[in-house]
Amino acid sequence: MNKKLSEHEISRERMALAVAGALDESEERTLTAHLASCQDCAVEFDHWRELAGAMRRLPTPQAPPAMVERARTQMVAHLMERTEQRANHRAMAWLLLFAWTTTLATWPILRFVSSGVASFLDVSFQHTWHLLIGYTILSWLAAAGTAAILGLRQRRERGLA
Amino acid sequence: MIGHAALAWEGPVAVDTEAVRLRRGDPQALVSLLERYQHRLYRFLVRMVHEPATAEDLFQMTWMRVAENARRFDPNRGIEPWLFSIARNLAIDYLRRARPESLDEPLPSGDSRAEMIAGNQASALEMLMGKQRTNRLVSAIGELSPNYCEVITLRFEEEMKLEEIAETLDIPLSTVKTRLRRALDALRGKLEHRLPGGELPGWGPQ
Repeated sequence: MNKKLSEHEISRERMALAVAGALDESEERTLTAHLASCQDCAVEFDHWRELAGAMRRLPTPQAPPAMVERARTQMVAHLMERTEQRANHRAMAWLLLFAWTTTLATWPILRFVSSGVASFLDVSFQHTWHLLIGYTILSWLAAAGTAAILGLRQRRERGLA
Repeated sequence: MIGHAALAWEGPVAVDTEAVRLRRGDPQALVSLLERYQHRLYRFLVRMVHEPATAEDLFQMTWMRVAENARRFDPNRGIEPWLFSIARNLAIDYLRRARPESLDEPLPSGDSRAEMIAGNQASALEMLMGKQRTNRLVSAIGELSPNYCEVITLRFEEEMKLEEIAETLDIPLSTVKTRLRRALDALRGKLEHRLPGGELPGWGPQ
């Protein structure tokens, strides 16, 4: 009698999980066997199944189209902004690389030309390094000035758009 | 047989492509995700916060968060658990701010369970038909604590697998089962208390 009662209790405990599809195979088998032999539990299980079915059939609230459209616009705008930022960072990295390459590559040419000019003007540099540093600073200042002008123009164009 | 093999082959490839496009931040991939999940995600948020206006705000925030995090999407994760976990975290944050008391997980009530086991005669709910029953059920789900509400709606409305629920909520599978059982018990308790007269338990056949 006690064994029967506990089986009954266990089945009641497992009904909710059974309709949620959360029982393992052996638990499911025990429950099915009990339901076949216990009318009360079979009726109770029908209630659970009915409740689970009703939840699965609940109408879906429809997402308002205006809200979805807003989400789409915001999301796309955000992505475009991020893509532009990444493109700007990439462009900046390339510019840096280009600036250094140009500086270093044109250095021998400058040396060649400037030695002629220097001897013509009779200007003597104390050390070759001074000329290199001066040239680098000058070319970087020119590059920064150009970048600032381009940036300002782009900002003005975006402001107008 | 050939069709089956083709399907089995196409499945993972389609998912991979989408994951890769997401990680690239492809707007088209995100827009198609929005189109596919708009109603389900909105429904989930409505169930969680019970207010359409708040659900709309959270919906916007969810998709902004999706756009921000798309590049960090882990292709080993399912897209669905990822999406729903973003929405869920925003909803829980909102509830924590707006209704901190709603987050206390109620203890499963032994009494209501005992009452439920005691009676299984013809249910008074048999008399309640269609829309009225639906409204009753929706508001009973809405009265559950967020921890219970989310497992119920993810399992029965979103029809997620238990493993996906565990991933979405970032909890162990055993906890998902425990919560599901307690949530269903609590839900039946609420439905029974809503009956006129309140003396008859059960969610009877229609």
